[in-house]
Amino acid sequence: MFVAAAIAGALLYGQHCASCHGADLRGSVNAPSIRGAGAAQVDFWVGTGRMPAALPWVEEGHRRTPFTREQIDALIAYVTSVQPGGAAIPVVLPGGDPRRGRTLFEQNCEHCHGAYAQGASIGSSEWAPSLRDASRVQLAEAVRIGPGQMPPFAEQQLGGRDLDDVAAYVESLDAGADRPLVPLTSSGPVPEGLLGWLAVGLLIVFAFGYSRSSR
Amino acid sequence: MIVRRVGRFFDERLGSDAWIRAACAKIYPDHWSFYLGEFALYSFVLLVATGIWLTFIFQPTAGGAFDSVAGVTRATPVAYLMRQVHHWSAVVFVAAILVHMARIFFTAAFRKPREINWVVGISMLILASLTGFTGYSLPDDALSGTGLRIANSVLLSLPLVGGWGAALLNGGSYPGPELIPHLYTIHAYFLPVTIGALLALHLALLTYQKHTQFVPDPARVVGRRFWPDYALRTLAAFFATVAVTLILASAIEINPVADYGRYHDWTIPNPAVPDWYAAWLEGALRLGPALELRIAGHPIPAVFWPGVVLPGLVIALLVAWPWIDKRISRDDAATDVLAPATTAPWRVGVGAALIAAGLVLTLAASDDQQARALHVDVRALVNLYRGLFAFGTIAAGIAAAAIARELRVRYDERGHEAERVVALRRNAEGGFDEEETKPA
Ligand code: HEC
Ligand code: HEC
Repeated sequence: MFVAAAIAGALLYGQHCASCHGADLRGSVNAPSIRGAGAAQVDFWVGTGRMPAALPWVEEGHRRTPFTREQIDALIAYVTSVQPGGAAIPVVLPGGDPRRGRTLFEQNCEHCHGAYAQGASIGSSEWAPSLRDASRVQLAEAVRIGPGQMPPFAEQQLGGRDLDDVAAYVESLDAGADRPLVPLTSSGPVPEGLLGWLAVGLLIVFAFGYSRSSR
Repeated sequence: MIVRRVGRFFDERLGSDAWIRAACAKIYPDHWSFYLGEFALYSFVLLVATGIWLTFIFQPTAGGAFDSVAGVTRATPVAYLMRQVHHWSAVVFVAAILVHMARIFFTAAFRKPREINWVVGISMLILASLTGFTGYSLPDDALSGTGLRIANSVLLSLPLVGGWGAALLNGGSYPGPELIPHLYTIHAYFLPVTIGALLALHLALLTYQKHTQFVPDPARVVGRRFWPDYALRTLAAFFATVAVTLILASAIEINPVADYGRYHDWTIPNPAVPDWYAAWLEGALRLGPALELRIAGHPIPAVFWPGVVLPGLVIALLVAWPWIDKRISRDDAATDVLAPATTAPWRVGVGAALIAAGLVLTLAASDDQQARALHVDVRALVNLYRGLFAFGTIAAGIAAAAIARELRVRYDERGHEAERVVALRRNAEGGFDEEETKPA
């Protein structure tokens, strides 16, 4: 069973991944080595649609994965058969306490992902994405493996129950409710002040033109 | 018909016809610069109207404030619009006050007998900035919490009373449980009511003392009657203010606190700046020297000089300006006639220097962002702004005064030419002949 999946996975790997990660999984100029990547790694990177990347070193956000569940399992089987190890896919349970989850979220995640998990800038050109699209399993995987700029959290820091609570809090946030009604979001008081003065400038032009035109 | 009946009802009881007639006949000057104060007035109207709505939503408690503001989203569109308009009007309000004040300053409208109204105006400017700052602090988000922490340090730097004042405001040490409730009372009741009272006084004095005018004839009052003329014009100014504010409010989400996140005293968002009218104080703190003095055993923290002494001096200068101006111009006569800016180049110089100083300090408040955008060392930028503050402001003042003097000379030379009225008459060949006439 496992062997059959691994063979199917090897085919998929050769087709979709080898060009970047190399036939031996050791990586290339295009991508890092994924030798020793565990099931959680592969499941997260492929399941969130980040992999296969379209272009090397261009970061992908959460997308629909082109693979079926069986194909992802086959890829996992193949990658872990080349070099066993790595984190297994975490086990998550339904339910959880959103209020406790909120406290944990505030302490561990908010400063990157934003108070409402809506996604936020984390300096230079990095962006911590919105958590709306991730499934419970993917959330737990992200926490354990720490993709990209995100730090991994060990079991002692955030236990399995803690993750269920965090997931319950994220799910409790009404999807779409925090998106603004207006097209643009201000990037801070500096542009706000400039625009305020522009508005007053417009008003001055209005006053000038108005008192002239009606003479 | 109904209007007449209502009018009669009030007239029979209050004798209101006489003063309504007087009010309708009041004459308003017809010059674009007289609309500037009205823009500020109408922004205030918008602020009060939307602010009342926001008091229904806002939870003035240490734990509930952030959620009650960040919860104003797509799901609550009316409250969302109210909050947008409220914050944008605040940004426009203070800017409108400043341009209005610049008009008063440069045309010397503050001269006797209007010194009191100048002081009332300055008081409103200070209170408006304070209202803005306290309002910006209410959502308890990471950005404004950082501003509050700075304000708290400035408060603590006050000798003798600082620690006591901060403890009172916070209900403990910063950020205390009483901080948000106290700010709320100050922002939503004390300050707006005080501004409202001062505004009434401002307008009452204006009506009683009459407007100033450019027409250099003290015996005549020139302008348009309130009814039917000026009432419609001021309504247009009102709608212009509303329109501009609504455009901003419906295009750009201001102060996205949900993105900034809740305030925790262990995090500081980066970059952090206050709203623009408080930025000059932040800039002063960034440029201020690292000077720790001890006076009679009391430590005076470095923030005391830029955070307390500098704004104190600026306020003192502004309040005292009508009297300083009298000293310089040796002119203490009561007048209703405005002085075009060019008649007193030294005043133009002082005004330009003050504006330049404010501009440099305001720019310095975001020096970190500029350094990053321009790829320069932030310390170089700090030193540049220090230099500009010390010398650039003086240079700007001198340059502005020189330009004003030059303009006056040119104006004087052309003065008599302007008297000449020229009329053209078409001649038989299809060209034009000049026909000289006497001035009307
Ligand atoms: C276009 C090149 C490209 C292709 C194709 C590609 N990858 Fe990747 N992969 C990358 C790059 C680049 C990274 C580095 C992570 C990043 O920052 O985006 C990466 C990262 C990963 C990681 C995480 C490694 C780590 O240590 O964080 C895994 C797992 C992975 N890829 C699996 C796959 C699988 C499975 C496929 C095939 C379905 C695949 N990749 C296809 C370029 C590629
Ligand atoms: C240092 C900042 C940081 C912290 C702290 C952090 N994250 Fe992340 N997180 C990121 C970044 C950056 C990414 C995107 C990684 C990438 O695509 O390269 C990410 C991605 C994720 C994703 C994947 C989202 C998707 O749908 O693609 C999830 C889920 C996630 N984080 C959950 C969490 C949780 C839960 C916590 C708190 C326990 C947390 N993160 C803490 C920065 C952070």
